Amino acid sequence: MQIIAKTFATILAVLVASRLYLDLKAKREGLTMTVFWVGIWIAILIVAYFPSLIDKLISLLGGQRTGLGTVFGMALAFLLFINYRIYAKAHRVEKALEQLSREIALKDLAGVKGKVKGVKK
Amino acid sequence: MHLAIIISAYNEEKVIGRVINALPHKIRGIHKISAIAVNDGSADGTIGEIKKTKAKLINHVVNLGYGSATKTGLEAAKKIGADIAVTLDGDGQHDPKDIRKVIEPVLKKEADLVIGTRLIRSRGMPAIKKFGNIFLNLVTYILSGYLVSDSQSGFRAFSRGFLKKIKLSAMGYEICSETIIEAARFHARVQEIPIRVIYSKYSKKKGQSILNGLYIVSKLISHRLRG
Repeated sequence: MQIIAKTFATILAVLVASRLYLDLKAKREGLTMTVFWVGIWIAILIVAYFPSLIDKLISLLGGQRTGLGTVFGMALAFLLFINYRIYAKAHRVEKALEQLSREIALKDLAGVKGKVKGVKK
Repeated sequence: MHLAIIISAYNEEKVIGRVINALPHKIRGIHKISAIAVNDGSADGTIGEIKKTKAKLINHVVNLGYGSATKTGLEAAKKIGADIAVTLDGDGQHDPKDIRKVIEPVLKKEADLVIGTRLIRSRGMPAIKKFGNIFLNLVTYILSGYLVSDSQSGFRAFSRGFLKKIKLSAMGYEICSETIIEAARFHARVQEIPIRVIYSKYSKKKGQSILNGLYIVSKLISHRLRG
């Protein structure tokens, strides 16, 4: 099970890292935000590779029967939900922006004269 | 026959003028050629360079991605009534002399989609890119059932009938595979024609990275999940 979790986390981290790198290179994302997300994913990888750290954290926060596992599980589900909502909204906005830009771009297309000179009739 | 040549450009001020000026003036069987340059929200002087040429400028006010620029170009081709649309990359890696070869199967009504393939004559292509292309060919094959030798080539010819049928949604480079998936959906006739690729220092720098290949796969899967 741990191997699956490690592999899963690594694949996701590589995908996120590749996207972050490309966005940073294309100046679509700032350095601060890139560093922030890299930090978050490093933390996720650390937890995936050393899950005992979570147990230590739980005992540090108040013993073994605090029910924190359930709280963490719920928090995770909530985060996934928020993630989904943001994704869905971003997708809608992206599509609307694309549509708008295309309509503006094609607005003056009537009577196109974009012929390359010397065209054979 | 009316041919629309679509060139997508994002931050290509150094080469876009040369690419447009090298387009053929005459092609046998074509009575009208329209050059359409889609500026995808470039932050450099690409617009100015396009304006110096005879191509029709179509401008995205913001950068939307290669797929969006290609879709806008194809939409423009439909609007001006082109019978054939051919797409080229604005980074100068495609040789405009190959346009005649690539459109020929569409002109002869033997194909609906023609892919100018770089992998049959792949001399000069970096090994990592060859590997990335083969991997994406396999992913495209799994998703479409069509096995092509260069699923990521941006040098393509479309028949008017095929353009009218397909519905593309990709905004990035995944549009290359999505077009093949659409071709499979409509049982379109797909042909591949070997093309020459100009691998200059500039075009190598502008090309896709291996990391982008992973991103393309994730986008293709998400497109497939969304249906």
